[in-house]
Amino acid sequence: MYYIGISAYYHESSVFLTDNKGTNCFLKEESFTRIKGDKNFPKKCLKFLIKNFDLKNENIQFISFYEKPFKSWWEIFYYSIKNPFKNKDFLINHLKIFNSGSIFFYTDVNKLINISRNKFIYSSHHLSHCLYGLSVVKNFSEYVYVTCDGVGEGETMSAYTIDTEYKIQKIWTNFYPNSIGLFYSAITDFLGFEVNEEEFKVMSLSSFGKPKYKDELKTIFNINDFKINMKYFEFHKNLNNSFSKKLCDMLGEPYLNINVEDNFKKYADIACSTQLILEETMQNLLKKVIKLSGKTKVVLTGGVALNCKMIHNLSKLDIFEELVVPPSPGDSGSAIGAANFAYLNKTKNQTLNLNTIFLGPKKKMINKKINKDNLFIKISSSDTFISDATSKLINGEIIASYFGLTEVGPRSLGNTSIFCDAKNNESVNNLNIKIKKREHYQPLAPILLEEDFEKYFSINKNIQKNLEWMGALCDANHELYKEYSSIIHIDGTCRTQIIKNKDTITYKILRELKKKGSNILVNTSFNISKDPVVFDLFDVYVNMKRLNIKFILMDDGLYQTKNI
Amino acid sequence: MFLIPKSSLKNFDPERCCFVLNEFAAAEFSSAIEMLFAAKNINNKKLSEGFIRHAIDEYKHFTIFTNIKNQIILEYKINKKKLSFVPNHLYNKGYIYKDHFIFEKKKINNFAIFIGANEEIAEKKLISLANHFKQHKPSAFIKIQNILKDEERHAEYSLRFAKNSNGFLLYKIKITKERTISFLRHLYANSLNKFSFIFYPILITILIMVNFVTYFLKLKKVTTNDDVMKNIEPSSIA
Repeated sequence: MYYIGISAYYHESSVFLTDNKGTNCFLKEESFTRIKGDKNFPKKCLKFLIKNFDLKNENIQFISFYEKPFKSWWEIFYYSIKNPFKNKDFLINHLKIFNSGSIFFYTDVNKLINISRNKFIYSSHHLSHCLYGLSVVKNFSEYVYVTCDGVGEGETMSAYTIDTEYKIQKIWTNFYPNSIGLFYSAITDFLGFEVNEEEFKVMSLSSFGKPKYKDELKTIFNINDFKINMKYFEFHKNLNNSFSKKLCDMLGEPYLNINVEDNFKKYADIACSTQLILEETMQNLLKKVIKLSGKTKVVLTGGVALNCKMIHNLSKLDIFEELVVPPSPGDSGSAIGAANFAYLNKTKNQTLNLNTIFLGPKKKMINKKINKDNLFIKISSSDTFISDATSKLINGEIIASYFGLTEVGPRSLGNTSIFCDAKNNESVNNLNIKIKKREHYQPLAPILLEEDFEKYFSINKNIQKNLEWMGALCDANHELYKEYSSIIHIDGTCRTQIIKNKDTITYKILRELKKKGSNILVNTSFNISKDPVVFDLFDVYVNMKRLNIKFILMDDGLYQTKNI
Repeated sequence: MFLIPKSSLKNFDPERCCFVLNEFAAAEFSSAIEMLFAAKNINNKKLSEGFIRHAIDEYKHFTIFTNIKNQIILEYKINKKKLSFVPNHLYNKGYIYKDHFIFEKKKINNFAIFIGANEEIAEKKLISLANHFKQHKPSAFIKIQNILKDEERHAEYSLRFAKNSNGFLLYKIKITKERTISFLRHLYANSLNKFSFIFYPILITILIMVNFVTYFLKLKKVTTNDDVMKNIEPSSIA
């Protein structure tokens, strides 16, 4: 029997199917529609699952939605309706959303497949985050589960504990509009970046600045009691701006062009101050929940947990024994939490047992109908392709990868990535600026074998687990500066990924590369800005042509694109 | 390109130019997605390859329009925030349907006519945009000329395929129908703001009514058990 978890309508839509016996499939709607961050009902994901797993009423145990649809809609509406005239634009939009939103989840599913109503269940937003976190750790009762995001069902921060009998207790909650996530997003908007998409740019930019606006920002977000001063924000009433004129009076003109040096400096200072407010807030939050729960190990989920710089800085404060951030802590990963809710609901005393990183479908399943030879030429067979690919990498070539299972979460972890030799400065710059067209202040991420990690990097043990999925930053050692300086961020950190599994192609590539004199590859996601990561071989072909990448590593060899 | 944006520009207004370029970029991006979807779902190797080439061209055009827009933004120090391209907005702007791709709803013969008719319209709109740039931005003019050549080729291929597979008379009927539909679709898309004038007062009235009864509608939190799993009603949406 299958358990299906769905997260949709607000952020990137995703679906997770599992039978908890080894069959897992995590999909994002954006992979099919090619619209990055697609938040519509995941119709195409479900069609894929229906076809490939022969889904019908009889073999589905539960379809679980990640939150309470009406509650989620109502809590925001309830806050803004208090001032119907001031907030009319926002409210009218919210009324329109009602018609196309998650309230009609049951109807949307039944347009595709007839499932009886008693198989539909609804988790709670932060509980889904918590239950996803639960599937990442062993000895789950030793942890306190903290969720921190923009808003979900009117909650902005919450903490749960779970005992060995699976009794879940909510020990603390903070409510809308007091949200550190929305505060950070509003500043993201102020700086001219896209809300819910480009918060990571604020994080990167923050390393270039000084916290000059720290005191001012502390007056609008209280880091001790987690309260926001709504005079500075308009996310509850304005569809275009998240911030008010009062914030502009405090910080100056919004949306300046950061390619101008003075603007860059100023915005870096604002970003740095914002980052500091976030870190101090989270520090206080963690102290609070650790005290309340009596547990010193933390699982952190919610969109805020994607801020790996914050994780890095928190790890140095010695306030917890361990901090784990799952690979997909945002709403997309909540589909897994929703499936876990369904499983726990059925069994009462068991949760899903998952490999947490690669839960996506196999490439073979995705490309059943496609003849690879129509689009690609094999240039190196399965016994020599590792050696050939590494020789090309050493010679400065940039190579894409498309093998194994698809990753969960926003980061490509080797299976759908673009690699280049981190030692080769020219290749690194070429990949970052010319191919990926990233901003100059955004660093690239290194990937290396676990055994080489300590030679080049250092990290506090309390966040070490996150290294497998790029969930934390680490500090560059002297050795790294000597040979691989191009991958080090201005603040001396790197978002490093370590590879442990010896059976993977990524491991074999790194091992072979080591023999040829380089220990580190640059790893970036196989997509173009504004596009989702490649999903099937058609996407691979089109993206290779667009990015002008010649070679690609697949499960059975090294390939080159054909001219069609 | 499918839903073709307005491109009438009398005097050189850099901000308005950027807005139009952004819309063209959105239309090209949407078109690329439609073509890629068609390439994946057609059971004909040659046609599939044709759709792939078309998709790559449309992505290229998207990049060109975006680059021209970014240059003007830099040159004239325009606020770029409202001119940024957000993929999710393609749905709200009507460039992509929320629940299906056009290829899913049309037979290949009709799909070819649809592409041909819309590429023709795009060509006309692009010519007026290119002429506008000829005076003020000659470098952009040259780039748009290259796009025009591609669009011309796309229209030609599609219409030739449509003619061959439909027969002359049927082709003529279908292309006339498609042109009329495209015109009406355009008219509807450009009139959306006017429609909102009708619905706005209705929605405001609903808001006022809801405001009066809000207090009584507050969702009461009922806690019967300190175990979250026992306290939650799985089948409830509230």
